[in-house]
Amino acid sequence: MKKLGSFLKLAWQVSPGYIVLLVLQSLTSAAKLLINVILPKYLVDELMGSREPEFLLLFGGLIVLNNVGTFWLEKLYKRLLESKQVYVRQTMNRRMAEKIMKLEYSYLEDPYYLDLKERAVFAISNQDAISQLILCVSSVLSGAFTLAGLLVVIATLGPVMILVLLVGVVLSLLCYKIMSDSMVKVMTDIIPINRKMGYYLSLQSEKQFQKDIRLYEMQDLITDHTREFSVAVCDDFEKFYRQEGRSMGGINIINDAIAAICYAYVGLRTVSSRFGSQISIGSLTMYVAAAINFTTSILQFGTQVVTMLQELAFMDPFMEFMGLEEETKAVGKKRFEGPVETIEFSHVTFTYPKAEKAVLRDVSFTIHKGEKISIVGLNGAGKSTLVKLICRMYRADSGEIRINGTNIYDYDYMTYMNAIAAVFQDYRLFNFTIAENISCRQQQVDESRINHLIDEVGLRDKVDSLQNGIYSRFGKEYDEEGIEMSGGEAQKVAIARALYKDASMVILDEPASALDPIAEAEIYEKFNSLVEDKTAIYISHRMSSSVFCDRILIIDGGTVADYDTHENLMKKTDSLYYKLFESQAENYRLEGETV
Amino acid sequence: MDATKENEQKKYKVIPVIRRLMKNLKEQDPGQIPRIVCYTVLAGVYPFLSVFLPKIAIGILEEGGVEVAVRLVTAMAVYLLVAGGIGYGMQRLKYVIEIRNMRIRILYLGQMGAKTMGMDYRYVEDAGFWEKNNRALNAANNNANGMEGMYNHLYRLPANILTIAGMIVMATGLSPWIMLALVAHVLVTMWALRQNHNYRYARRDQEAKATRKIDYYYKTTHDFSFGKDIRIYNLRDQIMKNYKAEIEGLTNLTKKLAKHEYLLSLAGVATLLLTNVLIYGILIYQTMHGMPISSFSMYLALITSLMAAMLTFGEDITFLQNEGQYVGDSFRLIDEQLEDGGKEPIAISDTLEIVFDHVDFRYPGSNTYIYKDLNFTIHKGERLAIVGINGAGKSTLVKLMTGLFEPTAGHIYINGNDINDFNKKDLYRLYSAVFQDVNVMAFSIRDNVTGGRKVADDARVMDALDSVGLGEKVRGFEKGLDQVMLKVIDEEGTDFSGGERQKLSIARGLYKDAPMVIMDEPTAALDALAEAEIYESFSNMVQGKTAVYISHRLASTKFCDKIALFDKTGLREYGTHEELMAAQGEYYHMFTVQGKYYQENQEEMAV
Repeated sequence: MKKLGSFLKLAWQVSPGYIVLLVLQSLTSAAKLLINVILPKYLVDELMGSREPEFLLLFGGLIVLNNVGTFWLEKLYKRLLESKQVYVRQTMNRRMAEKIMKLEYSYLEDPYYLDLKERAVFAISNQDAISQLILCVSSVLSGAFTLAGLLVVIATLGPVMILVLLVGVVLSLLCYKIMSDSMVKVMTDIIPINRKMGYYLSLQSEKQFQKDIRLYEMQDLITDHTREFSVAVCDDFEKFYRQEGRSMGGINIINDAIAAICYAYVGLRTVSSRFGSQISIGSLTMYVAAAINFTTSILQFGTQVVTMLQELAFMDPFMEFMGLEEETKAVGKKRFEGPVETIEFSHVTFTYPKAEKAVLRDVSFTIHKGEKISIVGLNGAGKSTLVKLICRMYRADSGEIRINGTNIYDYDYMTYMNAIAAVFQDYRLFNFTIAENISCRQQQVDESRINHLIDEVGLRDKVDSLQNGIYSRFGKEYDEEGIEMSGGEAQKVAIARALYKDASMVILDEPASALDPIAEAEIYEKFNSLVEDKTAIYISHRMSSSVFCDRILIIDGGTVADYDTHENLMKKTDSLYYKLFESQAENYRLEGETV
Repeated sequence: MDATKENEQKKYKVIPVIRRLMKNLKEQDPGQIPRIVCYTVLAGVYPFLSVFLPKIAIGILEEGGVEVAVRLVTAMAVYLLVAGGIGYGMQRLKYVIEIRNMRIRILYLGQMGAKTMGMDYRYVEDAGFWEKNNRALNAANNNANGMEGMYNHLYRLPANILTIAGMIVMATGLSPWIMLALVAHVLVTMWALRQNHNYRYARRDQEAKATRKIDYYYKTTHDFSFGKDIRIYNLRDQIMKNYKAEIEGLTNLTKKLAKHEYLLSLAGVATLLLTNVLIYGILIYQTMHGMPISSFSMYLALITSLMAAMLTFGEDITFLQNEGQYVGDSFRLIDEQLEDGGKEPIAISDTLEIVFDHVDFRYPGSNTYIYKDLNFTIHKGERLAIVGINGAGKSTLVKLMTGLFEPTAGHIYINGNDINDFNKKDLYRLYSAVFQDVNVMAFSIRDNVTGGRKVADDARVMDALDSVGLGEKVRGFEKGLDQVMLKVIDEEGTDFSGGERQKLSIARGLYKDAPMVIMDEPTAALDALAEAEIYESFSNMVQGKTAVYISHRLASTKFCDKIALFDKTGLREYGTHEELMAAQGEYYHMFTVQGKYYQENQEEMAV
């Protein structure tokens, strides 16, 4: 109930109109049913009795009005609800998007939260749990209203009918229970098989696999797996469907029985007063209609309550996600002012959440203003992790990172982030215009600076070839006129973005991996002038890039192996740096040739 | 654009689609037809029972007389027996028919996938194909609409027709005005449904576009890999603002569609009013003039049931009409000839010589030529390094050699045979290829290496893994070669680092042991030591075979015999490393630029 409450609160915040409409809709459908049960009695009694024209007109008219009026209202609700439903569904997604963007970054790389997000998304998009839940709540409401009304009608006939109905309801629920047990069982069995079938189906029709499939003749392998799991899924479903058929058949019999018993019993009441006061034929139609509607309604009611509880359970991951704590901006209040003078790692140890081994152990080093530092190490050595720590995406287990002598967490989040610009290895561009991607804002854009940077990173030719220049928009999925860029060009845009942001510290994590040698060399040669007097940290597998740098930080096995200039490091011929450098350099030795 | 769509819509006929559906049904599950026949009989009769019930019960009561109670109870007992039996049988059949329909649909999905995997590769890089394919998939990937939806509406159609026919016969005693109003109401309702569908169908691109825009923001925000940039560049507010605007866009469009539907449905409200007035007016009038009350009740029940049956019929027809369009699209795609074949097999046992003879190439649908008049030869047994700047068309060369794409003009000869004379399948068998993006699939390590050959030679699989340096790692798994990759399928699945994945894909190439080896940028994401290991594997792999190594890292030229340098105009320089260095051309320039800092340092070190 508490869960339901917090969900309804959320839905109410998104669209109160939606909920009001749904409640009105359920009330209308309940009212329609009750009127249709009760009014015909008066019509029939009038027809069998005095046949006063004005009463016949009145009752007939009311029945017609009820039929047509509610029909019209249904259409009206449908119209109003359709757009509200779209709005609510999308806005819930948007709410979740906001939450994701406000979360502490470390959540985003934690498999638990990744999985939680997947489950939440599955519930609200694939199972449409939000709409389903709201619909269920309103159906339950309407069901309760209908049942109460019908019960009042039936009760006027005495206890026998109630007893008959009770037996019918219990039997129906029993059938239903058997069916839902079978469903739960089949569904648990089917989830892993279904996932496998989905995976193989996606292998078949996803673009990225098509080259491998053809060149390595994997068609049969994939087809066989798909077929195997498709058949398994269908076999499992068939078990459930067959059970569903039996249960629904049983419920069908119970309903027919109730109708027959009602006619028999109420019929007897119309001809004799042995079982209670004698009643009219009109009342007969009313009681029979009430009884038949009662059984179907209570079954629906039961199903809806069960579904509601199920949907609530589906919503758990979503509600848990929406309840996650947001970025701890409140930690530091100190405004970050002025340029970065020093970056200081002091005995920093860091372990990824839930990982067993520390990625970085007791790391200490200092970078001074204006220095260009290269971080070198093997894949997985923890180079990118260092960057994430500086960007306050993770917190060190122990030790401290200080900038200008102050722990970075003592700074106010926004002012601190303003001091950092970064190009990540897995940088992303957005489907905005080129200018917006570089400036990261829609207003107050310094066009001349953008153009200057376009020149500097070597994108001038590309931009000039575009119809809308720097106002060309990325991405076909957003705009049919949208542009696409090669990996190298996109990387240049990302570099321009980092440089546009007027930050006093620039971090470049594998900034040139997608560039060809000429472009790479150009970028490296220009970096020093591009970053000007800013403090810069580079990470690259191209060892030649570290030659530019003032000092090189070698990370090996999670610790600082060395921190020195290129010249000094090359003197240690047994060091990792020497090995890495040589393995690439030997390919460029111009044996016997002079340059 | 819209005019052609309009035409397509007019051309489309639902009957052939239904005929095709029925043919598939008979072929794939012959038992469905007798099931549907039985269902038709039971479900056709069932609705009459609830119509007759009040007539029988009230009739007995009206008649009155002695033993009215006995007659009533007996009649009801008989009714229960008949209705219970028919109803139970009907429900059982219904669910069996529906699950079998689902099976046909799911197996069809597999057929569509097989089609995708078999078609010529050029369609893979054709956005138009994927759009068509997506639409075709939509006709088969859920149970409410498309193919399964059509089957589920089709099977209940005959029963419904039976019901309607019987009820019309029963209603002959009634005023023809009631029947006329009823038919008018059903026709108007169907008309409104069809109009609504057409209105929405005509605006489906608009709707798809609005949805696509929202989906972009949805995906961008829900994809955690965007998280870093969003935080560093403080993009949250802008994204939220744009997202909101797009949601409003779709909501407004939906409002428009819903309004149109509502206005159409008002016609149905009017005809319903007319029908109701006539029914109640005439029945009341007739009862006042001598019709028994049991008939009044029966006719009321009859008309209610008849109206429901006719509306269901109308909805079913409209549904079939609408969905048939999508299912028809899907059938058209699966019938389309998307793969060539049927050529004489060409046997090649030797390694390859590949000749490009006046080759022009541009990607289908593009106006920019990647090559104009390309002439060059990859000689037998040669190790060729292909280098060049981004966008010079290095990878395109691979796509042409392997037959993934065909030249726009000119010829490619493989050991003297025109590449167009090969079956694609035979062509693919000629190459062991390794690409930059490694696609590890959720199969066992063995299947990943062999591509799922039914008869796998485990010793050779281990050899291949050993020579790329993965042997120890694989032996370390309890299940050895049966160890499953990735966690999608098997929770105990494993995953490899980037370097190991690349090694696995080289092992795959080794196992295939094809006449020629191709490596396309295999080391772009690897560190220097891993890169050196890959170079070594390459040497192992190419013993005595023609081999091509593509890279924008010039280091690869060290272990190749010849170098071909491509730029935006095509093949620019060709020769040995020494020749090209001596020529001091573009290659020399690239080599010195890239090697400059390794070089300078070398001199400093020497000092």
